[in-house]
Amino acid sequence: MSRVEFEDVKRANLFVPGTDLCPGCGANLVFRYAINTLGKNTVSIFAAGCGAMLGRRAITPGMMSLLENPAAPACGLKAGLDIKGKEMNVLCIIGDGGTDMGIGGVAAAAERGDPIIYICYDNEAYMNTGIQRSGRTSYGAWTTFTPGGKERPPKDIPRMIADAGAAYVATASIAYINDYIKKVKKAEEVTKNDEGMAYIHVQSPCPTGWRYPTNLTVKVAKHAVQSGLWNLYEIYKGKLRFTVKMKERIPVGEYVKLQGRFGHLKDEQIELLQKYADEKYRELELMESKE
Amino acid sequence: MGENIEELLKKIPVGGVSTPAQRGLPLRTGLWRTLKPVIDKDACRRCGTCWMYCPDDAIKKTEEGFYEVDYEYCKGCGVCSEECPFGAIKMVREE
Amino acid sequence: MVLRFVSGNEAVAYAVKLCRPEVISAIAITPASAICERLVSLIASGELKAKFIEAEGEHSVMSVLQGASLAGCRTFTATSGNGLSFMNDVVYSVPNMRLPIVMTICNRPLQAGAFSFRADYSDSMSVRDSGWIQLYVENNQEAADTIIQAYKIAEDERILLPVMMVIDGWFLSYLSEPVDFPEQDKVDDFLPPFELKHMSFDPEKALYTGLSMELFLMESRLVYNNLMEQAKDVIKEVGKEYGRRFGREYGLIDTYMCEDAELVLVTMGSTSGTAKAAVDKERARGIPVGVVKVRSFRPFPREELIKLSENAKALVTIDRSLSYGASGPGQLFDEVRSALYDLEKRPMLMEAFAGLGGAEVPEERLVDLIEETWNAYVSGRRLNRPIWVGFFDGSRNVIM
Repeated sequence: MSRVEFEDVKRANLFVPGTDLCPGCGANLVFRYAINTLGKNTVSIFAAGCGAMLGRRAITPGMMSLLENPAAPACGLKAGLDIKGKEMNVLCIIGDGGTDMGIGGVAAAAERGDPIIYICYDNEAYMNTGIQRSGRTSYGAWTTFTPGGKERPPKDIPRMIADAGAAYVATASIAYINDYIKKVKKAEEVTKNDEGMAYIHVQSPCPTGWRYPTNLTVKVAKHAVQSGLWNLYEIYKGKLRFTVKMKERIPVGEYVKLQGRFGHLKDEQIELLQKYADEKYRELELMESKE
Repeated sequence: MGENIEELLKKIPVGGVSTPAQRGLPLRTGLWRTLKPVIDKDACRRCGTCWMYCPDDAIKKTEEGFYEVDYEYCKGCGVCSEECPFGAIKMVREE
Repeated sequence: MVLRFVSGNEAVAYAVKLCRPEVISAIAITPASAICERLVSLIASGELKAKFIEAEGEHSVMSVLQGASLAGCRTFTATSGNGLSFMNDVVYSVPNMRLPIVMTICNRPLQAGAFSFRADYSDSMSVRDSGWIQLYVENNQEAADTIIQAYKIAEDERILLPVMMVIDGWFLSYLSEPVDFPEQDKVDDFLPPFELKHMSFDPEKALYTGLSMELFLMESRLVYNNLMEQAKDVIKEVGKEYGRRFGREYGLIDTYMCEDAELVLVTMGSTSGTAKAAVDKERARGIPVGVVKVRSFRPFPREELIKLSENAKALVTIDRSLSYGASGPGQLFDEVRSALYDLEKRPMLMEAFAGLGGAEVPEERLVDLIEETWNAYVSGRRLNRPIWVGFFDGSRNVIM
């Protein structure tokens, strides 16, 4: 994708400022680049949660779905629009909470091969209701439901959806915008060719819930990727491929020390988190090297 | 009085559908700020990083290719200042 | 007219096919599975052009239909009991978006108590507050006719509310009867293609649908109730037009031998048919008894029952469900009593339960019921506790 194309996407004005979201919120960037890449002919579906704040102020058509099953109305909508001869992208912008709650519906959409684009903005908790843990909350993280720090690692939702049969699965980060735009374009291509569901999981740090000053959002996201706690890859036609790979990963401690939600972590716990990152990274490398 | 109430009830949008105007656009989030970003034009190398990373799309590209902050909407989060590779953006206390 | 010997499920399926739905979604649940099975085979054979989306749970089924209906498609699904409660959240959000979805419920028990796969109204009663129109049918012919009318009622621009057609699980869904189906071209004439006008996803308009927050909190509820009241007129209009075109007229209620009846049984669903047979027997013995069948439970035919009470001196409601701890506790009884409370001369109102949990309703026990309530009316001593019809394997009625 040429630099000129990137500039076009960044210049498209389908996202308007003036959302109700917190200053420094990563979810804004998730929707901004998704809608600008996909263009006007897109219906966006938001669920109750931070995403609903995006939907309320959007200048593109959309609907709000129930929190617990956001993928299903998207599938019905896509089928209905196809029947009526309207060629539109159907885009879901749903948080990790809604995705976790409705994981059955998302997996079913993947298995059925409904050509929707499902983008999960992952702030690692049910943020809009007041920072409650979700299946994606990091090990050790403080939330109002895990005041002592979460005791177990999170679900690997992108891999779950890939195993359920999604045609294209990718992970992304708001710190790597060009990579994210490429993935949204690929998702659009996959769904336009009716290959099945495209799923993009974007890590989107939350200053309010992760407890850091609002100006560090992009830095936190970068450190997550650089430490290997969050990896950028895509799974297409059965093959996993890293799209951004670090020559050398930074220690997990660099990422952890920026955030208040990890403030209580003892050294052993940070080591456990490091071990978790190392194992995940090795696993992904192994999958990449498989034929 | 009965007829007036009927007319008022007819104003309720059908099925929860709202037009952009009814959604109360735009929201002047510039009023939220306590700190505001100030771009030093001399230090700015026009790389576009601030424009790319602004969560609220509140930095606009000018015709000469420089970047300016739309203070109507800027929430003062400071991401632009943090990410500027050349230190050209300073966060200044709002009066 | 096409005559087929079909079960209730098949009758619904063929009637749905005549209405040309565009998106169908379903999950199998006894006793409703066969409806969508038949529709899928009609799609596979090319007789029906529709898209079938197999969802993984009833919640997704209704969500899928919500999306498809917003896109402007005519939709359908069928479910029962626990399936209906699994989709409960979405069932409540569909009327909020004013979507004319049509659903068939094959009743089965939902509440505490022994279970069977047969008709008990606790499932459809559990969503009576939701804003869905509810029409109960007596036999397979009514089922087929009501489906066709359901689309016309739901899609009426004055209404745009979803319609639930309720058919007794097992007793009707699995029972085969001759059913007269109208021809396709006549149905096409009666039911023009559907067009959703209040919502579109046109990029120029940038409309957004979902919850409408904070505005008109109380007023909007009056609006929805007014829509339900207006639905009474629409149901009657559509029923009359159906009669003109296809020879069978329908309304909010249906009466049998009520012109000169002093005692009237108030029934819903297939019990109505059994009640009519019991009435025939008792009429032969000279008892002036009749049956009023409540077809539309939501909106409730308050005015029709008030009119009926001008002549009827005693009413006996036969409920196929109850609300534990309620005043009735039968829901039909509570509705009837509430409707008639303001009358200066109220008829004697007695309550009976039959078919709870899917129990059979033997005709002989309904004959006994007529005897018991007639004696009470004649002696002036109202039975102030419910009559439980067909206790102990249908062997006797118990008053307690």
